[in-house]
Amino acid sequence: MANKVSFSNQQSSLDEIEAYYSDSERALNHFFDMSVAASQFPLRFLGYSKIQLNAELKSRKEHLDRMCVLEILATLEAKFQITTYC
Amino acid sequence: MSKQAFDKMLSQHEKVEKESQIDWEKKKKEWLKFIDDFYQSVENWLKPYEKQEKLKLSYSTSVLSEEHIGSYQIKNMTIVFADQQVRIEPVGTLLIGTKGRIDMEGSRGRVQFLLADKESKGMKIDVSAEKRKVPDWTWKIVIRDSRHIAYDEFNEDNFFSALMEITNG
Repeated sequence: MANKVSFSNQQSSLDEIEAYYSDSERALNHFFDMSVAASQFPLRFLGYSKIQLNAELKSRKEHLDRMCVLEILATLEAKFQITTYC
Repeated sequence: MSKQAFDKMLSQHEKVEKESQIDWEKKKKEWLKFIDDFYQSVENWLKPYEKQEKLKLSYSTSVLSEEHIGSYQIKNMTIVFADQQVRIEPVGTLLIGTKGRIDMEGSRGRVQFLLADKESKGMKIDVSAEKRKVPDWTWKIVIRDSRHIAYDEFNEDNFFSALMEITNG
């Protein structure tokens, strides 16, 4: 049975996922960290209120959470499959 | 350590508040005047249709809350015509890169009106304020795509184009 299943072993490790999550969260916080009086800002923030900015940051973080959870599930699934078939 | 950092943040904020000495009440009044001017223009353009009873204009009030300024009442406009309903709502004045924004929403989308410098045609990529002159604030219609923002003049023709864009017109 084990010979019929191929494993890519390309899944991320939990440490890699944790590092990615941490870096991404910091990057998001930095990107969205601005005052409405800012003289420099990404163009798409033109006209944004502070509330909008915070709402979008929250939405991005939730998206990041979901993506990382899925990746954790994929990693765990791969480990279970390897354990089961090997 | 966290409590010290918190105390420091509060002290710094207090210092910034004292140093800024912005007249928030004046800012609020200026903003409310801009809103009134906006509505006056829209009313003038729609008046002929209202007289012919082809559309109905009405106002409602709501409360906006903005940091430093506090809570204040603003007028929202509703335009009803040809089974369509369009709502115009001021968003606020303490916004990024603009002195104020009003949104107009219909069944097919939303258009934003921003207060921008009279001579401004739009913005590209990221925005930075080098040494800009004090803007001559005037209403503009915002056209966004992924790479830049362009402004249409806030005039009768462009207003009706925007109206058609967001309704089943």
